[in-house]
Amino acid sequence: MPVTASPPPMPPAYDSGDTAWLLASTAMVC
Amino acid sequence: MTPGLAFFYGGMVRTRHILVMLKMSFASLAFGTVMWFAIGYTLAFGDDVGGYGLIGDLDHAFLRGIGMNTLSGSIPTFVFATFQMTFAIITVALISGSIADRATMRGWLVFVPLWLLIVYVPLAHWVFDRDGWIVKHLGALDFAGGLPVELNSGVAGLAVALVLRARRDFARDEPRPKQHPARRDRRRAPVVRLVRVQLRLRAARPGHGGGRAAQYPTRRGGRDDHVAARREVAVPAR
Repeated sequence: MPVTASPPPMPPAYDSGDTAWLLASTAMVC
Repeated sequence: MTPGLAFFYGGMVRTRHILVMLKMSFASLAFGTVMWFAIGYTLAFGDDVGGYGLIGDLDHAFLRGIGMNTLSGSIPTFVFATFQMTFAIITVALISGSIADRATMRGWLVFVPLWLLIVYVPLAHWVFDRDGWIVKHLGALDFAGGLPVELNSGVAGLAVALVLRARRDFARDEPRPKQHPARRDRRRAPVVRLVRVQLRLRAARPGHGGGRAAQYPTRRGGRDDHVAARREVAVPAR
């Protein structure tokens, strides 16, 4: 019986929303 | 936040010390920025040395090997490094409050790079980097930087205050900025100003914790940034 292994996690792709969020956070903290 | 902090602290000290108080925060900005991109970032967020979670390596000194397309999670590493830089700056600037009125700029300019390198950078690696031992072994999720920022600067402030002791003329009442000595109600003005500045500093807090969550994009199977942001807004007492 074949063992079904879960696929390795994909490296996260670029996310403009996350980047905008972090830039806004940087502007607030700086 | 750091220029805000400069005026916050500057507004509380005696008139003749306001400039050095402002300069301390702005010097933290300048020195912290250079220190961070030179070796701070790579020591805190570079690959772990030996797998102990204690310090990063020097492979990314001066951001070597990091290009426009290098990602940290789903975020360009340039943006991530800049975000982390702001915490190094604000943490060391916070310490200046506990040595107000009795430290010189010369001493401060020596203290800032040394403290960043010896104290802040290792702690940032322990808590903010995935390979840090506090993250790996204790499972800490420190979105707002309670350990490397608040606790760290608080303990450092206590330490330098203990070393420098109280100023000699502690009890003497001298005029503070914008207070004329003849004013009878001069005790009230600083309180009003402090509350106002505090509110302004607190307004930056959501950025503090919310942005941090972007480091853990897949943990708990989802994005935690909104949760963290809500928690930051919901706990204004911090």
